[in-house]
Amino acid sequence: MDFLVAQFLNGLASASSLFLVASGLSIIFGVTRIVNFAHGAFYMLGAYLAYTLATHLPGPFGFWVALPLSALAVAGLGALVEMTILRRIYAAPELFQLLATFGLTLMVEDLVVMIWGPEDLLGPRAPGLDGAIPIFGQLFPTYDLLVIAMGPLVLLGLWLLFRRTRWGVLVRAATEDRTMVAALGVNQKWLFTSVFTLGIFLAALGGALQIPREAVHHALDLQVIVEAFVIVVVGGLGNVLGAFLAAVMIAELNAFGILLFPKISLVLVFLVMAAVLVVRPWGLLGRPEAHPRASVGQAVEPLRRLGPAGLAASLLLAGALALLPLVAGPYLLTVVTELLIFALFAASLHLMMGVGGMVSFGHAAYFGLGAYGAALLVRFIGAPMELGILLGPLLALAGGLLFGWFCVRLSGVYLAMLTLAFAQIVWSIIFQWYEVTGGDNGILGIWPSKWAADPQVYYYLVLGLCGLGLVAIRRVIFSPFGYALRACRDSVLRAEAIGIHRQRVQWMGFALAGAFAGVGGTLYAYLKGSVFPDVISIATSVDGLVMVLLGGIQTVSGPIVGAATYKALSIYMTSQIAYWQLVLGGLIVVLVVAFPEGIAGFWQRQVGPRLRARLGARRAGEHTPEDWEAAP
Amino acid sequence: MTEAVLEVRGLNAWYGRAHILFDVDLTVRRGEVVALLGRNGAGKTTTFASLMGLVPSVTGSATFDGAAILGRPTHEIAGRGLGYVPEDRRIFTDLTVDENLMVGERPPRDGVPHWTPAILYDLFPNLAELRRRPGGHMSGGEQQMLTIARTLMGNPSLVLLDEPSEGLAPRIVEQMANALNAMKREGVTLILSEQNLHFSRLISDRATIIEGGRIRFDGTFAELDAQPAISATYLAV
Ligand SMILES: Nc1ncnc2c1ncn2[C@@H]1O[C@H](COP(=O)(O)OP(=O)(O)OP(=O)(O)O)[C@@H](O)[C@H]1O
Ligand SMILES: [Mg+2]
Repeated sequence: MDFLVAQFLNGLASASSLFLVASGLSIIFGVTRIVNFAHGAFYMLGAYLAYTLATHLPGPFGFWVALPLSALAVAGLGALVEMTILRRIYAAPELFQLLATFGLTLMVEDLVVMIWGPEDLLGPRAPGLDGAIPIFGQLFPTYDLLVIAMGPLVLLGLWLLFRRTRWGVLVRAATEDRTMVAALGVNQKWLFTSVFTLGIFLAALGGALQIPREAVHHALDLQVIVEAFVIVVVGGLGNVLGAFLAAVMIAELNAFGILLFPKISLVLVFLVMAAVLVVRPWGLLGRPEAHPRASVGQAVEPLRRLGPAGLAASLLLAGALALLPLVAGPYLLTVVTELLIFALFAASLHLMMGVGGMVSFGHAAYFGLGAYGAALLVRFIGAPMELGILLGPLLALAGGLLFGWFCVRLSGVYLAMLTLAFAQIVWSIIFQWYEVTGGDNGILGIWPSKWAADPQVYYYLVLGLCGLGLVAIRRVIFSPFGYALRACRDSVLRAEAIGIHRQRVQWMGFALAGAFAGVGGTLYAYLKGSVFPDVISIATSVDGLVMVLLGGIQTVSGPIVGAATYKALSIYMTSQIAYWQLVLGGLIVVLVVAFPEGIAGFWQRQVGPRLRARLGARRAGEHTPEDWEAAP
Repeated sequence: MTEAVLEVRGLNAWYGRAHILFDVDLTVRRGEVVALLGRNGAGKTTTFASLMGLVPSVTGSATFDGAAILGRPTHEIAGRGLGYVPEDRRIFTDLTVDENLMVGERPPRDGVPHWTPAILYDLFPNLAELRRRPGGHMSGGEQQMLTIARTLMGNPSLVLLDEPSEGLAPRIVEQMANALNAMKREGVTLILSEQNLHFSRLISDRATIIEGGRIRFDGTFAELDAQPAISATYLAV
């Protein structure tokens, strides 16, 4: 009993810190519509900076000054980021901001290691509150009581700020309807900057408060961002009170889950999140948007079939790839094999996002299920590669059917978060179900059959299968089913008015995308000879997003270009550059700011037309049938 | 003759590839109420939205209070004193009536009436009783009054009022006409978009008829009545 009370209080203390982070994330999303992936990074920076200040500032007050001071400093950095980077890309398609903030996260992860080193750092104790007091006979750290109090205090402060100041009223108005706020003469530039700064301040304060409680390390960012996402979505996007309730719920679930259900402790949070979203699609206290924004992928320019030039380029590329083994050694071949696999993975994600309008933050789940599908066949029935390649993707298809059934009931960011939850569920199951999956140790010995063991042969196999997959995806996009999928993306009401069963169409699109990703995953398993839970990690999902967005979501070939560019860059950098995350992250930020429509989109919209005009190849104003999609 | 507050010349607008407005000309003088009449889909809302910087592709010129406004950001246009009451009202449903007014609040402007919540609650007595009520929990008529009051809080020198009588009960329409006439007496300059000829006649000094994105008539109501064919062609219901 006493122990349970202590555990409960422990949960509350974690809840406070999580609430600070999540409320900041929620406020930022509410107003700017930015899914700030870097929020965890700012939290981590707050913690590191507080550590340094608290250990260097003299006297008993040093510690107490360090906490707010570090939060303020990080908030200043946040303001700078908003003004120099985000402000340039608010008009870019949704999720580009996510990409930029992801780049920032990569950079911060390396910067933190450069400055503070890779070791865990244990912060000093809080002067004056370093003891413990007995609660029901159990000693409970005094400092944690302060942390517990911080949650409701900040909630109250935010409430007053939003209810009692004009700034707060403007923020709430902008959360609901940005356009109308502008039409009333409010310059939102500074509103956005101030909201972003406040959000970052809260994140950094959340990090700083933790230093006497937990070690500071350079993986804090991802750990925190995932929990913050869950809390924000469960509570309802943009709703601070909801975030508070959800933070308490999730923190207590973590505190007690490990006692009650140790076997599924990691899954628990995500199961609860999925359950909440299925019952309340907008979170506990959230509400559907009054003026929903156009969904992602909705094109200014509709997706186009390949023109003669495009067709020629594709054939040329295919020919070059077919001849590659004549000049390339085994290492290069293996690299290109991997690029091909990721091209299929990215194209399958594009089918879901760009064509289906369903953003996935958890596409790695299907890649991973494909890989594990084959691996389990090998492990338990000693299946040969042919059978693995045939049946492995079925596990991904099954996953797509199961998870998709739930996901298509939601839309927008909520749908994206639910895909993340499912991916984390798959990851947790594979990580914790040691007897079957080998957990952390993965499954080894998944090698191609003898005839395909040579890298050259395996390369041709992958080239053939991925090529087929890419062509198949293209055919799907331009089939009646593909048009139905796009109709659902562009206008649910109109699609349903012409007799399209939206949920069914999207469900099939979801499952199909999962199956294609699964093919990629299976081929990846045989390429590497093993699988580990990492293939389902958030990092893999985010890689997919980066490829699609970087390539250009509004083009069919974009994801392929994006996958090749990004994967090649990251393979090169990991092997050549010590701080490759810093460089890669910086590159992503620069690319996003320079080409807010993606590489292929930039080519199609800026370079392509000019080239064509130069060559006079196409008459101006020549219309393909699809041009009419843009007209009402 | 008093100076023109707004002068629009050769305004064209597109949604994507669809060309919606064709060489629209429009002049409004200080203190005047102009009715912009037209059927469903004639282009009234698009005209207003173009002036507010809410339509991405427009050409032509629009001078408001001496400044060129086409292509400027929305907040800047509104900040110069061009008030906009959209047809779908767009009340902030989470905000109370008081707070909705607070969002619209701008500093006083020379030469135009200065509005405060107290004056507006006098003008729209229904709102005075609902000051703490969230905008989402109000009737359509009350929301329409609130959206007008909210725009007036910006002390605009010209208000673009999009179909204020649409979907309101006859009794409320009458209240609305009284309120608009009261605003007019205070010296508010208005463009009133309407399909309802009868309603707009109660308030307006002049009529401009738009159809198919083109201006088809511009003159007094007396002139309009003298040519029944015009309203029959472009307005008949
Ligand atoms: N967002 C849009 N995209 C494409 N076309 C549009 C869009 N909004 C309006 N239109 C088209 O522009 C034309 C003019 O519409 P507009 O809304 O300006 O008319 P209106 O006079 O305000 O009509 P109503 O009385 O129905 O409000 C119509 O043909 C309409 O279909
Ligand atoms: Mg209209």
